[in-house]
Amino acid sequence: MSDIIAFSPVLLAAITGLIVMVLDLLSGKNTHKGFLGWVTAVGLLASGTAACLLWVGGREISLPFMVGMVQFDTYGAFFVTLIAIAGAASSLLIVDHNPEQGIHDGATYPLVAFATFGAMLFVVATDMILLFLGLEIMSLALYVLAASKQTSPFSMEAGVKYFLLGALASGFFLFGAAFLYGATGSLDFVTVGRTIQDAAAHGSGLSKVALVMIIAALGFKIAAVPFHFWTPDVYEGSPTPISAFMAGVVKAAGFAVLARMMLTIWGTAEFSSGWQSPGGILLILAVISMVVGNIMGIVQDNVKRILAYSSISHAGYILLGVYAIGLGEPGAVGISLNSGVPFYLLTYVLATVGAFGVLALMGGQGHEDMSLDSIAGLGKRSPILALILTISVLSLAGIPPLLGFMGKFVLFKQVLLADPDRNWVWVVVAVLNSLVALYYYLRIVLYVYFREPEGEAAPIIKSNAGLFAVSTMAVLVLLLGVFPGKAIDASNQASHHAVLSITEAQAAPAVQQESAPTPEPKQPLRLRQVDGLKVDPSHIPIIRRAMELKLRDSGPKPK
Amino acid sequence: MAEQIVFYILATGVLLGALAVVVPPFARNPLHAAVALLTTFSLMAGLFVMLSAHLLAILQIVVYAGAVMILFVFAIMLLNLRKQDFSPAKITAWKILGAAAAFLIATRIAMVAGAAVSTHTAVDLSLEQYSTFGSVHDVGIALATKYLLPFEITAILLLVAVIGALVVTRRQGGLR
Amino acid sequence: MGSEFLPYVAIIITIVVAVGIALAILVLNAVLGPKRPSEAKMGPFECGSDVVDTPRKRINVRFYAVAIFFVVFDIEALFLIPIAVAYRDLLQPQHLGVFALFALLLFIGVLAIGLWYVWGKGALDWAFDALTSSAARSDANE
Repeated sequence: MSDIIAFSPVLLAAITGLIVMVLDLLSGKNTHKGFLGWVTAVGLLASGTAACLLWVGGREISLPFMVGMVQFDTYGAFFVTLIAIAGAASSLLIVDHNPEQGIHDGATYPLVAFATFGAMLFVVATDMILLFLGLEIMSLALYVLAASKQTSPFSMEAGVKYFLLGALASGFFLFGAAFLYGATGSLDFVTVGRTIQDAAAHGSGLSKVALVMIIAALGFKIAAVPFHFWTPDVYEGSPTPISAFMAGVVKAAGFAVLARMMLTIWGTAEFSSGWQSPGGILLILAVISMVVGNIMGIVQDNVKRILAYSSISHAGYILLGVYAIGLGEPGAVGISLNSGVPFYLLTYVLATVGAFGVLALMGGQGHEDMSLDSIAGLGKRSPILALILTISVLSLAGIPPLLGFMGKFVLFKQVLLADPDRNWVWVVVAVLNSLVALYYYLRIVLYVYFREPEGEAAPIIKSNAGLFAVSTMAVLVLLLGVFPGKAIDASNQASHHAVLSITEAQAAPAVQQESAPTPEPKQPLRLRQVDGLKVDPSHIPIIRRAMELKLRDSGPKPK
Repeated sequence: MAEQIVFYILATGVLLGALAVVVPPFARNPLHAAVALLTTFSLMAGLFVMLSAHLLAILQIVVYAGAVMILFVFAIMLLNLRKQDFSPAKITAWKILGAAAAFLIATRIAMVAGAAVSTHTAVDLSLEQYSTFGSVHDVGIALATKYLLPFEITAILLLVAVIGALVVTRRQGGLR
Repeated sequence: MGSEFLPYVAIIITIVVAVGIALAILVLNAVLGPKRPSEAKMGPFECGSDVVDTPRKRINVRFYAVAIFFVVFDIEALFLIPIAVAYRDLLQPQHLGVFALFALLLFIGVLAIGLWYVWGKGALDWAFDALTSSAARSDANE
């Protein structure tokens, strides 16, 4: 029973979706469906709160059908909360945006709730089948949401594009999971990682293929360059609250899973040595994402496209963080996720949802055009929205008092600390990129305050719900920017739990040398029997076999 | 030996069918491509049978060759594209690049998978302990015990599909 | 042939006979059938009246919605079959016990809400489509 309670934060999101469906039906056909947005937001925030209350510090799972399927720990709590906040903000933005754009249907809200549920499931799952289900629930709902504005050909185009490429990415993910299963005979990626690290000689080819496939699949979800071509078109064409959702929730969930899977399965001390190592691939993606994202961002004239390219370049910074693993910190083989990564994702998600949110509150009466010209003079027409947009955009740029600056500072510092001799080059590249990016962020601010609209300016939507959502984002960006201590602490704790493992430090002496004496990890370890045993390397296959048998036979215990 | 021959016949059929779905001249006509896909699905069911996964083989026929195929044909009828709706097939640099990349990756995977297979020992499915493997009963037990969580969550996935279909097919201006 | 094919003999014979009959009809027709085409014979038959329009038309998108609903609930049923077969064993205490029933009901319940939703949203109301005016529709509903 306690396992079901531990699962409740994720379940709450699904239940929210079901409740919203029922309310949508019961409220009749001619009512204003805006209240459903509030219900969705409250439900999602409740699930985020529950995650914080229940999971921090980790929870042991004993229910047989959940062992090895899901993991509830501080890492999950951090990302589920982040996803819940972004999902709730998006659903509040929909409240007045959709009617203004001619969408009066209540079916959008359950889809948002279910997409959030999928993202949460994606984050907590450790089993390939469950991961795939989470990925598909999230993606399927988003394909439909991207195309939900049927009067607009752009929205249709966005939906079709996102669907075709997303289905391809799902195929890659399945392919990778199948290869991992073929190489190790397990679907639980903690066991997969163990097997691969134990026997590097066996099936290493298969695991390499799987690595590339999974990077491609998740690279699509996080919009890293060369898998980014859909991003600007889809973010531009989708209804703006949905763009906010994609830029916030999907990216957070994608990175959470990418970091955890990469480091758990391929996370040895050689993770980022050389171009052909898993980290090396991530580094290449990181650098080209930053450069391409920022350069393409400069030449755009549409605010939504600028933000899309900005999100691509941010994916680059975060990938750099995933590449620069922390050595000698808690974790299986002395590695952990770079502690700047969760914090940076927090800063990015809050600011980008805020920025897209302001755009979602413009463009009333079916106005779709979001060119720089249409936001010109916003400072005079709506000082509040202009201020929020400025705060968000400057935070994305990394201007000092705001949260984005702290995010960049912490992330780049941690990347540098991870390996000062080699990583300084990449930190310099990243800092230069941030400077280049200033150009297009400041351009938005310039248009908002110092230009008069030449063409038709985007009408402003009066929306209490939307204003509440975006101003909350802006306040968080300001407050956390000034007092980032708690958030950085949470990020540190989360990143210490990122790498899932059955510790076997003694069994891998080659890797041991790198790591400082590791304190006992706090996260719940399944199969505690093996932990900390002095294991003779020749016994590993026997132990693994025994564990597999135990997993297989772990039906419900007789009462 | 006989088993291998059957396997190679089925596998070749699956691959040729899959190719015919996307490669001209078959692919120029959507319905022809659909029939090629149907062939692939049916022969895939044969491969499942060879793996002793009998339930999967039946589901492959019922769901893919049956229901999903109907969906494809519906989509083809729905769009009702004529010859003139297609842009003429052009060979562009991107396509050549893509084909080359696909070829490289495919050969690489084939090499890696071949090497991995040669080191694995085959499981003899005729052994006593596998006698009920893949049966409806065994799948049911697995679904309701070890994979109970994915099973329940599949309901949500199907639910999302239902709502999605509702939203994308509603009339303009919103449903009710 | 090895003994491993024995269980499949019946189904192989079925497949061979089915495909064989279909092929035989086509081949025999091509070989034996007399072919004397005329204009009237080559035209599509439309109850004796002349062809007025192409039969290839875009069909209503709602056919597609119904097709998807069918597939979804079809898959629901297919998921239930294996569990129904194993249900007696699942009731044993070493598996799920009575909980098996609730697991099934949960699965069905979630999709039942989906069916209710689709129904309530009017995606299954076809009869009213003939009455195109919205006034007629709302009258009929009340």
